[in-house]
Amino acid sequence: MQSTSTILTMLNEVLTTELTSINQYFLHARMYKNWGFNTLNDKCYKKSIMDMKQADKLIERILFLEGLPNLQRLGALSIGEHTVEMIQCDTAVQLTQIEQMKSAIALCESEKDFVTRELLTEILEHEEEHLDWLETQDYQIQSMGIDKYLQAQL
Amino acid sequence: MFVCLCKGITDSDIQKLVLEHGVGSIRELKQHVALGSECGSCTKVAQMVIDNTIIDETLFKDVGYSNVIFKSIPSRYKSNCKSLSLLTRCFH
Repeated sequence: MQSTSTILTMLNEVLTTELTSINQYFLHARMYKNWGFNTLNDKCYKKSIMDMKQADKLIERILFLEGLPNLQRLGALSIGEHTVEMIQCDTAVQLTQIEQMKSAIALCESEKDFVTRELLTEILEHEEEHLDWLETQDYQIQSMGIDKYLQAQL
Repeated sequence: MFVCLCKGITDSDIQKLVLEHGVGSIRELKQHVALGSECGSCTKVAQMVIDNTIIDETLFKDVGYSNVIFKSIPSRYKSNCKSLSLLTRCFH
């Protein structure tokens, strides 16, 4: 099925963001694991795998719409040096991704591509959930202090 | 935060070079570290870190007339913090 080039360009941009975040969360997960923070490792690892599944859906959708998914392009990773910075980096990435998803969904609406819109809405829901988790961690660090917070992540 | 993942260079490394060695541009930064020599995707962020360090730390904040002096300096000199600190020293 043919689609407009604007939809395909947008889908490829969303794919680039997903591919970048797969790597970012994977590296963060394994950094946490290396430091022994298993709770944080599990959360980030699962987020990375979730992003892979979302990227898979995007790739399939782009191919379905007769486009070429660009798996070569990657954005810059923002990798923190310690837990607080890592959470800040992830939050910044989530915020930009959510903004991107919202404008992508608005484009689908104007181009009347409702199936792509549904796919993107589903992704947006997961991204918002993860942003909420990150904000919770930030709140916990501020309220109980980084030492106690990290002890709870062992 | 890691600015250059290829060579493992952090923003605090760059800040330190700006503050201690008067690095004011990517070209000068490359004389100290191998940043941007592999994939090159970090140069934009690195430039931002240099600029922000120069502006935030204002290197010559405690010099008193800094704001007046800073505005009077042509913008081509502002990117080079070595000449900037020299200039402020002259003004004093």
